[in-house]
Amino acid sequence: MMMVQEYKYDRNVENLPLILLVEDDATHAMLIMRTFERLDLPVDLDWVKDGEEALNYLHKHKDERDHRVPNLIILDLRLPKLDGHEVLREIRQSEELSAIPVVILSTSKVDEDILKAYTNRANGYLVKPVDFDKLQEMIKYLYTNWVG
Amino acid sequence: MIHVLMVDDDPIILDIAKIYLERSGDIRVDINQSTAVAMNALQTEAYDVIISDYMMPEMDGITFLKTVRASYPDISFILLTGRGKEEVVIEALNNGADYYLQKDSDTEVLFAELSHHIRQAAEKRRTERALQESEEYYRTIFENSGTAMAIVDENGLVSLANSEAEKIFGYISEEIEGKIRWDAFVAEKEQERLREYFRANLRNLKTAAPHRYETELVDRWGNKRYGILKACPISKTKQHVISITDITDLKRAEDEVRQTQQRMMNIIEFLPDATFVIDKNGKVIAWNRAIEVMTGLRKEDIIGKGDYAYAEPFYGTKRPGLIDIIVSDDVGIESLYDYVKRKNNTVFAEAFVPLLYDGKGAHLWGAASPLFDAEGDIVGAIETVRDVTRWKLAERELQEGEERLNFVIEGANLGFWDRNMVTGAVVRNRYYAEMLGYSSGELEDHVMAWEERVHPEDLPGVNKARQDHLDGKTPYYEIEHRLKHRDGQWVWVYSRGKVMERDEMGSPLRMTGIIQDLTERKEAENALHKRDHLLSAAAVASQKLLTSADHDLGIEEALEAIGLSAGVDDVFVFENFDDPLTGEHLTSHRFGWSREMATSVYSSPAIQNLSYGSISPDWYEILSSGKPIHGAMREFPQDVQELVEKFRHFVSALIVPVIIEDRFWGIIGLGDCHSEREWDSSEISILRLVAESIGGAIIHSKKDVLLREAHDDLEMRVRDRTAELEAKNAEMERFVYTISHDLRSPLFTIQGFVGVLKEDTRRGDQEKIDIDLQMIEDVTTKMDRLLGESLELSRIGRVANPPEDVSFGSMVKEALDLTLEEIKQGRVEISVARDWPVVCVDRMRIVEVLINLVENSIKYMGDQERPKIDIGHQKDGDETVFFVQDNGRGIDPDQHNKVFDLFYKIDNEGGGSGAGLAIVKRIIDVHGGRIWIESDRDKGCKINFTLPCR
Repeated sequence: MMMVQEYKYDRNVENLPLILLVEDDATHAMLIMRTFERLDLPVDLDWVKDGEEALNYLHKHKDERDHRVPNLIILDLRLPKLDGHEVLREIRQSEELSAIPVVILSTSKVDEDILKAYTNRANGYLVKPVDFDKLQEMIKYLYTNWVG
Repeated sequence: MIHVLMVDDDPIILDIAKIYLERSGDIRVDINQSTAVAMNALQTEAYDVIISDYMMPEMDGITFLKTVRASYPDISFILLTGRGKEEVVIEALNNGADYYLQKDSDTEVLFAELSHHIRQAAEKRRTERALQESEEYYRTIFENSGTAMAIVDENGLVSLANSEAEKIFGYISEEIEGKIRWDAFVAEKEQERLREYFRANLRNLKTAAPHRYETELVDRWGNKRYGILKACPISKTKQHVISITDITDLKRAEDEVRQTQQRMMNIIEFLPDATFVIDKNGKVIAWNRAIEVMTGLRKEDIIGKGDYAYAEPFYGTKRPGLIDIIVSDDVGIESLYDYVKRKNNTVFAEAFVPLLYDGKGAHLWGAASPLFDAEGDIVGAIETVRDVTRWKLAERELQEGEERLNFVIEGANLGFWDRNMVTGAVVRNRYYAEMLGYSSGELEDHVMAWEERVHPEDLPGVNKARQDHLDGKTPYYEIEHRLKHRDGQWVWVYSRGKVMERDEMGSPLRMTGIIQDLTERKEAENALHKRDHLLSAAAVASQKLLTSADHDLGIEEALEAIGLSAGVDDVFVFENFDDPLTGEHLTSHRFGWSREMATSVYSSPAIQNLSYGSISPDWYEILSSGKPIHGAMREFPQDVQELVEKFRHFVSALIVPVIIEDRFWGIIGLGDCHSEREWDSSEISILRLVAESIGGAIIHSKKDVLLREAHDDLEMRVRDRTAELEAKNAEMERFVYTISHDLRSPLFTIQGFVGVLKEDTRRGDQEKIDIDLQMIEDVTTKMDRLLGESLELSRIGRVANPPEDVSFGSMVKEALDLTLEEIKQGRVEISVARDWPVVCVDRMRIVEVLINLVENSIKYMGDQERPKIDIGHQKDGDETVFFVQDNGRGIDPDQHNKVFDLFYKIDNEGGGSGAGLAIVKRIIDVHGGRIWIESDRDKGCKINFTLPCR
């Protein structure tokens, strides 16, 4: 588990598109980052572990000048403190943040969640696939559609 | 003679011209030096030619030409000019000059030329005028011939159409001429035929004789018209003249006549009676469907035939029939029929025709009438034949029926009468007289005498019934009434009568009827009537008992119904019971009805708890064996009389037992304060019936109450159970959803890293391979724990130890012993309350709850330097609330509800799976308790819960 924190995504190139990953499960976050790396997709990827942290991250640019607003947010639904739906609602209600594309990436296939996400104007809803090939396709899709 | 006017300002020229031109003798010349004078001359004289100089002082020749032309366009004009005036020449010709001559040539030549031109100009004018006159002449004929005409050019276009044609087709000629083809006025279906016809005929036409063709036309609005077209080529031209005679009105009139005839034939065809028509020569011209059916002879085989052929299907031979009486004067025909009647022009007859219907024969009735033309001459005849066999038979049956009726009336001992309504004379049969003690012929013959015999009380009713019938309100009258017997007694009779004949105004002429002796029947009826009355009261009573929602009220209403119909003063019900101490049979008043409405006296304690033994010792036995007690009051036991006398002055009474489920439940009784009644058997049995109904109602009401209670109870239990099941079901759904979600989560990781691992293995990147494997291992461990906890959670409530009474304190002690290690490690100070109540719970589970809560508190202690946990209890009203309180990090209020969800984690720092509090809540729920949180961030946390106490 400790290794996850030590793992850093390669950031040698300046001004790459920035993606914010909101994911409470460290193994999931790790896997998603590894997939980006595996596919050689040139992005900066920041990871936060719960809804509160996500909102703090997003509002930080007000205080820190060089803090960037992400080009895409990948958002899990089941999160400690503030869940994904609440985070999404906050983003959409904020003047500065509402334009950021948000794609839900969750294990939930429940209609209620999907409906709620789209009601809150999510840009997409993806169910975490059990198949690794599918995950790669999904990440490619996210990159080409929302970042590339 | 050609008349010339010459104008020139030079008098010499004028003189020379006159002499020269008049020399030939056919030209006369008037000369004028002034144009003004010349204009005057033109007004009085008719000139053929004007010769004018060009150069003149008043006006030049061109101006003069224009002036002349304005008034006299037809006079030829010759202009004389000097040489070299070509522009004048052109202007003159443009303004209507006929010729010009130049004056400077040799005089001889000039005048020779001039006289030639004069003759030529005059000739041209005359020809033009003749032509014009001729054209006008023909035009007048064309326009006023009274026939629509059109001239058609070689292309078929109408070049001229007259006003008649305009009228027929609704166009004005300008719309037609040169624009529309002639065949556009012909109905489309006729066009091709007509074109072909004209082509053939007009091509071969040698002479100019017109060709006729009758055709359908069409006007500008598309209306149908009919016309006769005549076409004729105009000689020496390629044109044709077409004349159209409008015969539309004629056609329509013809059509109408044809349609009227067709309608007539249709009417005859579908007349229900067999009908045929002959013309004046005796030929059949119509033979309708009904007569085809009657005779079997089809139209095709008879139409057009004469010589009495129509008689064959009826009589087998060709002989004159009824219809021939109309057209011929042969009176011998009449002898062939049963009778022959005449009314106006119509002849009626009847005959039996044995041949008809394959020899079955039929009575026929026939009517024949003449048919007239417009002048009133007979042109034929129509005959209608009707099969009247059924009526004939009915008539015969009627006659026979009358004989039979007389026979029956005599045999049935019915009095029969027949009254002449005009004279009042009455005929009666023998039995009528005998019924009233007379012999036949002894009764007076007039209606007045009859009215005297009717009972005075019955007379109004009898008269009304008769009058209603006479007025036509009823088909007959019937009434029961009394008639006076010879010996002065009254005889009940049933009387029934009917008008048999009326005149044209509807006034009755004759009325007949019967009377029947009812004396015996009336007596039987009276007895029956009384019983019926009571029975219907009993029925009403039963119905009240069955339908009244309030059963006490139902019984009271039933008693009233019985009381009123039995004509008694009181109805009462007493209920029996046994003294619990002495076992004595007692009875108490329960229900009552009284004619005087003084029911309240019954509530007197004097009629409660009456002892059978002390009133009339043998009554209990009699009544309990089901027998009634009845009779005059004075014959009742003395004690009974005394008791009753306090409340009611009964003269007679009837009492029957009320038996409920084989038990002598009580009594029902009737009391009469006025007459000493003989209670007959029907009254007794009807009261028994009511007693049974009341018994039924009492059982019913008792059962009703029990049933309703049972039903309510059952319904409540079903409701509770349903709610419980619904809650369980919802919980199960939530549980399954959570489990499936949380199991998919580690699968995502495992599969993902297996994918990554493959890649890393291929590359031989050992460092990453280690990470991948570590990941998979971690997640697998986590998954195992998730499964274990899910299973555990599902067991709670399903697998339960029986609840036992246990002191809460002992469970706290056990839990603390089991978490001793963690407490020591976290250096947590524990304080535990005293005086614990006893609870009735599954001991193992509650210990588990306490362990969970203590461990949670230690886990989320945060940076607290003096960690502390309080375990205690407090009273909240009747309830005991248990709590575990710490001074750790606390929980945000908006998280309070979520923390009990399965696998919900506030954050990832505690290292738990998120199942702990879900399990705790589940255990408390299963025990029927409640659990809630009091906490805020950095303010510590207090978990409260309730449990069932002893």
